[in-house]
Amino acid sequence: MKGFFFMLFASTVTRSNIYSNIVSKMLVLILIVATLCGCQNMENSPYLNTSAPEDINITDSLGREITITSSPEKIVSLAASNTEILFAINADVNLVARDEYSNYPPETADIPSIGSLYPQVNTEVIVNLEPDLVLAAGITNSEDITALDKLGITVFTTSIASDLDDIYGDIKNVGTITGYSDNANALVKDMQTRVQDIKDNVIKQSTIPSVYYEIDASEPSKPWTPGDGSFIDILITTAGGTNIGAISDEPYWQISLEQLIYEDPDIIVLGSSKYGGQTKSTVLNRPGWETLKAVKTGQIYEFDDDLVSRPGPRIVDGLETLANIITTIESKK
Amino acid sequence: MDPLTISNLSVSYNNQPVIPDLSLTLPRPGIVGLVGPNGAGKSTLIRAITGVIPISRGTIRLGSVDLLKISALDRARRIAVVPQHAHMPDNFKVTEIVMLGRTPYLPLWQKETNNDHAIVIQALKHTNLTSLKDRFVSDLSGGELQRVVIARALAQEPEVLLLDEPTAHLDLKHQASILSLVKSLASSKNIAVLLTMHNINQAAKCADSIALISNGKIQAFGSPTDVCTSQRLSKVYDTPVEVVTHPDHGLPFVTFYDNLHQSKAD
Amino acid sequence: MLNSPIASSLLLFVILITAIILGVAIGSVPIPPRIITDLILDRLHITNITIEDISKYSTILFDIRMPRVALMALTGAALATAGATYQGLFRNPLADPYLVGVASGAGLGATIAITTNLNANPLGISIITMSAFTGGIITVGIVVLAARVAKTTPVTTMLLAGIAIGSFATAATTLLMLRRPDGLQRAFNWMLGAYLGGGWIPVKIMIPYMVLGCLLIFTNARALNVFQLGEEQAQQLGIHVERLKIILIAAATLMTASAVAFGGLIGFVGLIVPHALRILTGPDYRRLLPCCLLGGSSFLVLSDLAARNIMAPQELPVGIITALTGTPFFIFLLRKLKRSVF
Repeated sequence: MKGFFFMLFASTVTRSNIYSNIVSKMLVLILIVATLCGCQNMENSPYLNTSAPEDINITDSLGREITITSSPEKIVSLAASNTEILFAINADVNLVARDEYSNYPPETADIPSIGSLYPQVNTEVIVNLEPDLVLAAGITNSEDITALDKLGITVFTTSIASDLDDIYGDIKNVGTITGYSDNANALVKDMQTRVQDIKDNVIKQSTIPSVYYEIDASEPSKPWTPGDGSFIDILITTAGGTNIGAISDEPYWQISLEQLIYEDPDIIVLGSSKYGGQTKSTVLNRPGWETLKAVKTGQIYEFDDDLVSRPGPRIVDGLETLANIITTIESKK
Repeated sequence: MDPLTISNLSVSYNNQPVIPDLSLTLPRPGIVGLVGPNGAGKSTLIRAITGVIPISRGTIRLGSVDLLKISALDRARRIAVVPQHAHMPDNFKVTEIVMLGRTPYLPLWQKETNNDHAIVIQALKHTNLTSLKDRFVSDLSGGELQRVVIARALAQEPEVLLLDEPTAHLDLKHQASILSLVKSLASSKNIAVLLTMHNINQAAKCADSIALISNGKIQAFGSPTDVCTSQRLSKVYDTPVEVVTHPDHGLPFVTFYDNLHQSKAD
Repeated sequence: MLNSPIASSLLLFVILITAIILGVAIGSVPIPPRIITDLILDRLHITNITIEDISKYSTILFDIRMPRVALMALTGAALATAGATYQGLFRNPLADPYLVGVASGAGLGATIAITTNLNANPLGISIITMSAFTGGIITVGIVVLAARVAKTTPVTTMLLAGIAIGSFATAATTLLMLRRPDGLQRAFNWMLGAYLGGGWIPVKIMIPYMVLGCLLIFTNARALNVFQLGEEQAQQLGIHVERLKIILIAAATLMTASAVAFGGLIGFVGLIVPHALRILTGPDYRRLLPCCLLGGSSFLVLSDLAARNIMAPQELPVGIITALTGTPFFIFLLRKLKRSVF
């Protein structure tokens, strides 16, 4: 091996033939890379899953079958929604690392962050933690999941939730896989009860106010709003309102100011306020918006969009907040 | 030695025959001056000989070798061109440019041999560029640059050398030196030279024979005195032309009639 | 300025080795150098080591870091060499490997795959990657065909066609992204840098493209020198100009398409590294091209090292590092050398 390297190196130094000069340089580069290649891991994975009687077999939302021992002691969460679920079912005691955006509840600050998932998950740090379970969400990149798989790490992926039932399912699955089923079931029951209360109130409503939910208003003449059948659309309807964005069936789309004026919603909900900086006063100052009745009557509400964009326990908080806003205006009629 | 014989050449651009039917012989060694009006086909002829533009009909032979049937590489070993606007990258050195003339002799990946280096040194010597050999192209004057292109052409060891308006942008001193260089190279290196020139007088002084081209045809070929007559030139250039015999060397001296001249005669 | 061709190659070679060593040794997880050398020796079966935590360090070193460093080395080599080739071919200092539409085409291919929600992984490569590669190749093919005039492919026409078709591809990509906003985030992420954590498979796939591309380009290095005189003079010196153009474009595109498919659109390397190296090696492509191979790979390996570690555990996109570090260095080189580089 050493002799070969030496000969190769020597050939780069001779000037006899330009061809050998070029080729030897190329060979050296390829050889370096090939040697590195040769160092690849020939074994399958350092983490061998053997089935034992208390083991749990569960299929995740990607259709993958996961086998895990009954209580993982080291969990890594890659999404804020799952982090919130873990805390809500008291499984957070086993949480050893989280992604950058897991910021609720405040106790997450005490748990080390592995950075954001952009441009990709930091697999080194995860491997170093030797976790029993990594929780991925519907929004996690499939390439990150594949990479973690190949490194022999157990990954469970929750669903891309399209309605409340999906979220209940995810919560129960997380409960099962972390060994906190009872807590999970109780949480789901509680959420269902609160939702039912809201639905009961909605039936008593005399009118159904129209709601414009703003996702983003970087361009105030063409803001983004949720369309028909989208998650937020479903929440608005459940909360007793009607989403004016439902005129399109894109999951989210840009509505023109003209259309917005034509629809003239009763309520403006600013999902663009927490991370987009929009406030009641910025809306009042938008040129052309003063004709909207919601602006004239001051029915503009800043809203924490984390409550509706994270498929976890706080979704019901979001629903309740929306319902409160709607009953406020409802009561004014 | 074998001359370059062009027979019944026909060249078209976009289906327009620029050269309908041209025949010309370049003796070797020898210098032929190709003169004629703009658009007569001078540059076209050169580009056709070197194979840059395709030929519709006719043959070009160097001795017994049919130039149209050999590869571009073989042709480059026999024919060298000094183009009118020889583009040269600024950051090359003079020796590197001249060495490019050895391209037809070097297979793709082979490094230059000692022989190649020797030929380059010779070419530099012939063109008086030895002291400038390590200078960058961007540092040279127009006359020096022209000599570099000629040196590169020499490095090709050509049998035929084509120069397209070699003195076009040079001052008198450099025009003189280039032409005398070409003259000496033609005889010492046994090259058949074809020079296209706008300046008929310089062509007459430098060349052994003149070929007068117009509308893609050779209107006349012969010694300068025979070809450059007032009547013929006036017809070809479509303007009154005056030819006098130079008192010193007896060669024709060509100039055109103008209003100033005529009003003086009145 | 390094006058001897040997000196410059040797220097770049040493830099590359150093870059690779640093890239493998430094990461978000600190691994003591002693353990690194032990693990490597163990893997090469020179010694037999039993240490604690061997499996996790082993995974990090051999399954995460090394393939990443190897991918960056190959990508940097591909981009720099292709960039130098295009600069020679178009005789234009502003040419970079993305010029004839390979980047926009790859972007379009990737976006099509992302927005049609294909999640397949045939042969272990993501379909997004294959789509990006195919998109890049097809786009350049269209550009070359569009630029054909009779039996020639004029270089200026190719440039213009590349810009036009590239813009079309970019517009189509944007349209797709807007019509399917759920894919928008992913597609956008891809534009800024493809997924780099794919393990050894991307590396293995890139190698044949690199070898083929380099072979084609390096054997034509002298012809590329002659080409600097312009197409007509090159032809008069016996070069088959049309054939040369097609071969060089094909080779450079293969290398660039594979680099983009696996590494994403990393800018700056293909444009600036050849210029910086040209200052050291001079205009001779026989010297410049191999140096681009070594220099481009070193540069990208080091940039990636910075990208992974400056804000650990948060990783930065490599393209940002290449632009931020390369530009001042290049300006410094330009000021040192007063003459025009190209």
